[in-house]
This record gives sequence, C-alpha cells and structure tokens, in this order.
Amino acid sequence: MARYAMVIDLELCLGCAACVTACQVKNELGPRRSRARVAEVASRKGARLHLNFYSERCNHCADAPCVRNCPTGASHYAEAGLVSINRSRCTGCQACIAACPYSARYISAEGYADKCDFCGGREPACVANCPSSAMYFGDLDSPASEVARLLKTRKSRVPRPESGTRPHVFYLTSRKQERA
Amino acid sequence: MEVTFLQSPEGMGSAAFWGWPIAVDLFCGGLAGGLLAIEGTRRALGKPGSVRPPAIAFLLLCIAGLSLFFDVSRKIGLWAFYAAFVPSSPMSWGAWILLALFPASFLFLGGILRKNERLIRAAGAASAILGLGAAMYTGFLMSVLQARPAWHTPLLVPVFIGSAIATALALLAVMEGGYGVAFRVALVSETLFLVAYLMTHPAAPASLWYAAAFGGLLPALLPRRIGIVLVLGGAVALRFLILAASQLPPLNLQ
Repeated sequence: MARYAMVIDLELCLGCAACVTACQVKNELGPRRSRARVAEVASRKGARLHLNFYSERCNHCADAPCVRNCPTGASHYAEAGLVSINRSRCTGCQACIAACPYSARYISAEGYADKCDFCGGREPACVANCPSSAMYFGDLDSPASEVARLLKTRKSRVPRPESGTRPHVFYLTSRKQERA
Repeated sequence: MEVTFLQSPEGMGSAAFWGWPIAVDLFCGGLAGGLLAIEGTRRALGKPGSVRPPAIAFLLLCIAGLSLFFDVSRKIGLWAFYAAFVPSSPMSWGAWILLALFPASFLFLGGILRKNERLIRAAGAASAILGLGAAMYTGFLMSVLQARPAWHTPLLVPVFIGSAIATALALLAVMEGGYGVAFRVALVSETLFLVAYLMTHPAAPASLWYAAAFGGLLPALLPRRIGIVLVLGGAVALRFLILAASQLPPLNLQ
C-alpha cells in the first residue's frame, strides 16, 4: 500500500505562488479561492535575518483531527493515506475546520468543506507547475521515490509537530540557514 | 522572533468558522438542557411542578435546533448526521443526543399536559439524562479541539455545565419562585470554574473576566431579581466571548 507525501525544498522555494495559481486553475476554483497558500516567514537567528517561503496546504495527516471530529464520516482516510471528503455526506458543519491545526480547510461556494486532495494522488498541479522545482510528490514507502530519497538524505521538518498529527507534507530545511 | 505574511486568496486559512447562530445554539441548548436536567429529575422523583419549565425548555430546544440548521452551510446534507455514529466526534454525540432529546422532552411536556404520571416519570427521567448530556456536550466539543488554544482545556466542560445549571435555576426562580440557595451554589460553582479557567489557561480570553464578574460574582451578591437578569446576560456573553476567542487561526502555521 502506497503512502503519498509531498516534500517542499525551502532552499528552492521562491514564494512566487505559482502553486496557488496552478491549484486554482486545475481545480477550477476561480480567482478568489485556493486550496494552497504561501506564507512568508521572517525569522531572526542571532544577528542574521532569514526569510523562508512555505507553500502550505492540507497535510494529509496520518492522525487527522478533521477525520476524528467529522460527525458524519464525510472526512475519511482514502487510498494511500489521502485524507478525503465525501461531498454528499458533508453538512458544512465546520467541525473539521475547527479541528484542523493548519487551517487547511474552508467552505466552498457549494457549501461543503473543501481542501487540497493532492490532486487525487496523480502528480499534483502545484508540483507540476513549480518553476523552481522545489516541490516533490510520491510514495513515502517506495525506496525508488524521490520523496523517500530526499527525506533520507536531507534534514526535514513537518508543520506544527507538537500537534501530533503526523503530517505528510515535509519541508526540507535550508542547509545554509542551518550552518548560520 | 518570527513575522509571517501571507500570499493567499480566500479559501485556505482565511475564514472564521462558527458564527452567531452557534452562540445562540450554545446558550439555548445549554439552558434547555439545564432546565430539563433539573425539572426532569424533580418530576421523575414525584415532586410537583408546573407546565412552564418543560414548555420553555422545549421552545428553547427548537430555537437551538433552528440555529444549528441555520448555521450549517449544506442543509441538504443534514441527513448524514443520522446515517452514521462517529464515537470520536463530540458533534456526532451531540447530534444523536439532540435527536433523542426532542421526543423525550415532547413526551415529558405531553405527560404533564395530560396529567399522565407514568409518562411524566419515564419521560422526565429520560429528559433529565439527555438534558445533562446536551448541557455537557458543547463543552466537550470545544475542549477536545487542540487546534483552538482558547478552548483546549477540560475546564470548559464544568464551566458550560455550571452555566447551564445556573441559568436554568435563574429561570426557574423567575417562573416558580424559590431555588434561592441552589441558584447561588450553582452560580458560585460556575464562577469558580470560570476563574480557574481564566487563571490557569494562558490562551483564555481576558474579556471573560467581565463575564465572571457581571454574570457570576455580582449576581451572587446583588438582590435576586437583578442577579437573575445579570446571570442570563452573563451566560449569553460567555458563549459569544468563548466562541469568538478561537475563531481565527494564528498566521504562522509552521
């Protein structure tokens, strides 16, 4: 059984938000909605200032609070560890939005909860359209996959690890910043 | 130190979620639950009483149900609440409790109107248990949400139960008279839990100190009629303030 994951290289991400636009176009969300966003995080380490761009989306957590708190079972684990929404069972009660520590969800114009679905497990539009090739997608359990190789060879972090949700989106940290 | 800016259209991470109808539901559902817990227990034990408390509780339940209906954005999918029971979801528990509480409280009211003592006792006992469940569940619903720092504490459960019982006793004191000691005990208990929440929970909204002072402490000291009005007002404010406290996520989700 595959376990899909996304890996984003903070060294290469330019913060251009092409991932956001690609998501809007591929999923026909219109110009005002998106299942992804870019956060610019400026931080200080000693005398140095660092700027990192984080392309954020649903983390398809292995222990997803949205699934646990959904009262109808509309939010569920699908094939290969994807967290999916069964739209016909969604009431728009927003329990999943309240439960998600990453604010990855929102209510669609049609009234159901919506979020990134990793483009159903095919190569996601954000990954395919990243101009700096900072994003990777693949099977975490396949030794041949790029994501597995990168996570073995590079230092990585997941968002809000203290939440205990075991996200499947990983950020490769900047080696230059680590040395600094 | 970190500073975060977002490049984001509407959608992901942009929205506050539960709006004012949920605060109305929390207040009316809690008050109805408290009324039914108290009056159901009394009538199940064979104590006399009037038709007003269960009638008002049923009316409040209807308002709570309508508020929930108004808040969900996909009303056509409401059937899904009752096509599954998800034990890990407090909202699923709440949906099933409400479903059972409506007929139980209706039968309780019907029993009183028809003076059917067996029905009053049976439906009263069921309403009391389910009413307490309704008063408790919103506290559970919010306290399990780790993503919402202001709500993530088990102290919210006794705060909500205390508030439900105190407001119910306040309303009973208006309708039926009496309940002076019980009202003050419930009020002091609720206030103590609220103060404990405010003092021990770093993310607790400071504005709740006003609710604790004007809806808890002052009513226990002031003449009863003024106190009752303050308790009911304080309970409404408590729901709105707690709900507003954790609506927007932090900018930095990393």
